[in-house]
Amino acid sequence: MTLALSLVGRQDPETGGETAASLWDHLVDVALAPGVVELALVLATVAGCIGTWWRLVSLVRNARDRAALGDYLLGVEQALQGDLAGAEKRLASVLEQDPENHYARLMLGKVLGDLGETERAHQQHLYLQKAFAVESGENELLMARSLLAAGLPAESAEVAEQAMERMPGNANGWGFLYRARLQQGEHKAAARAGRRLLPLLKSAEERRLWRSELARNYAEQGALAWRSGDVASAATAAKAAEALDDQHSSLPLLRARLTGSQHGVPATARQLANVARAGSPSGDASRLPKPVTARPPLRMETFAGLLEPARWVCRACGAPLDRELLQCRRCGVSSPAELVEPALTRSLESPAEAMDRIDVNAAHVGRLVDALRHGEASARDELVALGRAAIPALIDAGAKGDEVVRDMIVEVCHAMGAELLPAWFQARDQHSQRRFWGRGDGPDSVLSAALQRFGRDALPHVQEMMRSAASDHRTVFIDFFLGMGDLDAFQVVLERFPPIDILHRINRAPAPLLETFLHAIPRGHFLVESMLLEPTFYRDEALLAAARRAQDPEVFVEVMLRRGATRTLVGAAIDAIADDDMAPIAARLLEGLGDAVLEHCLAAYARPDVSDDARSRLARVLVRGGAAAAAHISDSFGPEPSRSDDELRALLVVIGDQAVGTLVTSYERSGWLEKVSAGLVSRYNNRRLQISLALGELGTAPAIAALRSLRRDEKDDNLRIHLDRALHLAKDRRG
Amino acid sequence: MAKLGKLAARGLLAPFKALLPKSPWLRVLLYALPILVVLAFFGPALEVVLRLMEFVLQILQPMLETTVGRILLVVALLALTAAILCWLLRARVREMRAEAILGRHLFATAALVGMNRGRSREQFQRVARYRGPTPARFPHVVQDAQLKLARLALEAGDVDDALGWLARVVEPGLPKELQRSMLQLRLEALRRQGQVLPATLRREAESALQRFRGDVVVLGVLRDLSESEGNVDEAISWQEQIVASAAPSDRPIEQQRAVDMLSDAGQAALEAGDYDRARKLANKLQKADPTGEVGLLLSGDVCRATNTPRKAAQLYGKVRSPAGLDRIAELLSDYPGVVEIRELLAWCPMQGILLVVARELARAGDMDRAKRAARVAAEALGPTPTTCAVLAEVLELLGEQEKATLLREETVAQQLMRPTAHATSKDDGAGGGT
Repeated sequence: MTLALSLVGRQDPETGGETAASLWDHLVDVALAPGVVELALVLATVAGCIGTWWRLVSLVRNARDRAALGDYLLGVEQALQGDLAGAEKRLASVLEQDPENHYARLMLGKVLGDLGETERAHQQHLYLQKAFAVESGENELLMARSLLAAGLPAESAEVAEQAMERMPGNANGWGFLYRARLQQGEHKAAARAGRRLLPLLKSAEERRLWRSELARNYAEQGALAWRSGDVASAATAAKAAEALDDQHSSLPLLRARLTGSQHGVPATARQLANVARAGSPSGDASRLPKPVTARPPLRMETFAGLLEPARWVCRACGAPLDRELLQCRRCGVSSPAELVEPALTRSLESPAEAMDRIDVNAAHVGRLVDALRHGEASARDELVALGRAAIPALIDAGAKGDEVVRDMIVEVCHAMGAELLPAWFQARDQHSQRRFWGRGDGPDSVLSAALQRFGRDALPHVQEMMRSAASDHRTVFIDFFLGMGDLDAFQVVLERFPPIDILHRINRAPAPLLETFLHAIPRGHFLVESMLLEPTFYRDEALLAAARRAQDPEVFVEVMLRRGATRTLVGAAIDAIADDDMAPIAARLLEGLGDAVLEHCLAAYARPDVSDDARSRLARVLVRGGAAAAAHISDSFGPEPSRSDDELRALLVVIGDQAVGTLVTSYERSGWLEKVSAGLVSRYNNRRLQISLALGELGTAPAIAALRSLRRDEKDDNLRIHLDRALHLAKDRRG
Repeated sequence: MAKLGKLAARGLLAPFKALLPKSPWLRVLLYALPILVVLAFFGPALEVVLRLMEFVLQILQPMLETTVGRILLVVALLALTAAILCWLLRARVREMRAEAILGRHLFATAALVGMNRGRSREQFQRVARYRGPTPARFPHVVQDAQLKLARLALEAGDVDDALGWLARVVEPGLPKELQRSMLQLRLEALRRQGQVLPATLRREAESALQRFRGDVVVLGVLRDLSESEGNVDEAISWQEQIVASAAPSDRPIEQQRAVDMLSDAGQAALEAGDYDRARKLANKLQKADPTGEVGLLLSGDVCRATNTPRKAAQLYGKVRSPAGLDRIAELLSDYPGVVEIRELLAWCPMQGILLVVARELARAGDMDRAKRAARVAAEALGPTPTTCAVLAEVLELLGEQEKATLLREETVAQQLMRPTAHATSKDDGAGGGT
């Protein structure tokens, strides 16, 4: 009041001062009036008494409302002293008698949580929150704890966040929230909780440790941002971490990564590696990590302090662990340890195999060859790397394997280099000595293919080996020189090996090799006379094939014509006539070979599987065969009419007048049955019918004359009718 | 006859008794009224009474005329009234006080359960100061409050305050739950106070343990005492009991501690040359932590110390962890060539052993095999930091300094390069393709 009056007085110092004074005097007068103060005192005393009474009553009611109070208080004490089983029993009995004792329920939940019964604990806290509508931060925090223990960090963190809104001064709560967020992998949210906790810590040591922990958290945030490409956020996180603890072991890697982003990774890496080697930072490297000189037995290399020297990390929060702990000290997750390099402890599939691989013994090479056969590229590389040691096994495999395997081995041989060729031949000799009943083509096919693959690169080595070549090697060497297609180089073969051997090998040489060789033979070369015209040279098909790509095919055509119509050549030529490229040469060859091939051509012509083109080309050859061809054709008519009769007849028509004489002769020729039957067997047959038709279709003067002559001499009525008809047809054609 | 008389008297007096007020005080006043009336007839006596009243009025008169006097009179009257009421209702007041203090204790306990330490301490302090009648439903309310205060003081690190509260606890008649708490807290306070003789503390703890077998706190004190006295075996024994009695949520930590203690004791025995003891401890470790590595490592260490390196290598090989590899590497450094490489691979069939093999071959000058082993190791392990580090060392041993430098640079560069989409997220430790 005095204050109020003084304020009034200040507002109006001239007139208000008097008013305030008079009011004050008036109040004093009233107060001094008998009974006023006493009444006020009595009223105050009564009010005090009522207040005290009310408070006492509330306390008493608080006590009287509770049943099983002794059990409750002792249960709480048991819980605090660590007698969890006793506390659980007692508090559970309290709740049976007094279900609305929320603090007993809260404590029971806590005890159950400590006992590891997270589901039951959560149930109690849920009852409190939902059934009794208790809005308690502590209850929510305990509920969060039970959720975390049940392996639900995200839900736990959410509930803990709500709890901490109610009790922001609870350091334990913020610590718990930090751990829950870490378990969840939410580093940012964890850092927010950690920041709230920092000012609540009392001792300087605790604060220092917590700052260090937060520095790690920010460094981890930075690493995550960096991985996602957000370098700016990573730099911000690094600064925040440095502000908290710039010596933290998790910072060097982040710093180095940021430096790498700025100045380029290779340069930074080189600088760091130099720092590690030199042992002291210099220049710009001053902010880079210092080298770690301690070298454990099998080093957990930190690479100049970039990595933390821990072999284990927490699977939830990523904190480094010094060993396989049962619980992470940082985030509290159970069985947290996870190896940084799990490969180190991964089982060796087969120690023996590993050792074989190191020793490079036969078993290992055998396995590699098997792997090569299954198409494993790594096996090929390793075999190549093994070089000489792998060759015997490869030779063995090649000798037994099919063409695919042989090609793989040839690839390996080529990759190994030509300088190892002597080793291959040596291995081949060893294999041959062991070989008794070998399967496959033997090792020569591999070596031959390998030499071909090397080509001219192998020449110096082959020439060297030829000086001491065993007779077994001739085959391979001759093949090699054939494949080279170099007549000058082939001179070595001619000088060293007997001609019969050479010819023998040429007869067996693979077609591509021989073709390559034949291509190289020029017109008039002595080899033509000395080798290709030899009767013991059986590779006519190779000659024909060589003619195809030869610059001067006539060389080979000439050779083949001189060699004459061998069965192989005729067969090859007839086959080649179906080939558009080869057809001209084949046709020319067949025509050149004359009558000897006509019968083969006619047989091919009659084959149902021959293409139309090939047939027309064969027809041309036959037509060019003239009377000889007509004789073969007329003999080809079967006893009964067939579809091919028309085609053959057409050929005869195309041959023209050259065929007339041959046809008449053929008409008049009687079979042995006709001769011995003395007219009992009819002369009427399909051959004579077709000849008469052919002559009719021909329709030339010689043909008509031939028909008339035949008509005149013919005694068979049917044939006469046919001859008459043919004659009419011929006349019509002619007329 | 007498009974008959009594019945008659009761019958006659019954209507009067029914009319009398229920309150015993009013009844006394009613009984006293005729006596006072009779006394009034006695003049002198009345005179004395009147004079006394006049005297009192003479004293009160001046007081009634002044405000201060009237105030004093009102205060005196109220105090007298209150005193008379309290005296008259003393049983009820006692009961009410007891209930009220119990209610306050409940408030304090609720605050404690609700983690409101400040409020809880304040309320408990008021309960602890209480010296009135104790509530029948929980007569140990003061002791309980004192124990809680001691606990809070210990939590806050105020050991002297805790001891003070504990010293005030009246022990006789305490229920065993509170006794247990008191013993626990006293032991803890004495231990932390640091000026109590260990023998005293031990005696207290042992007597507490006799009463409360398996009490983890008491066991912890005994363990710490044994540790401080250097009696490792005893400490381990206490720790084993702690593991057996610990709450499930604390068991992992206690188990870990037990393993650490056994391991430390084993290493100490090893250093002291007491190999039998070390061996026993190693066996114990393997029983205590059958899946852990420390037992086998210690067994291996014992074999190594007793000059049986091959046996040691076998034991290290059974440890499926990097620590086993480290020990094998150490062993081979001390005993080069003691184990054939093929044997080593069979005993320790882990991919990491390939690194050890490569390095040992390089050290032994077996260059070709070392290179091949390095190649096998690199293929099996991939470009992890350890692999790169050891292989760089192998390259150095093989005289290929430049390659070693390059490998290190590439490994560092790999750490600095952002992982591609298909790469694993945990690249910090594992490195990349070098």
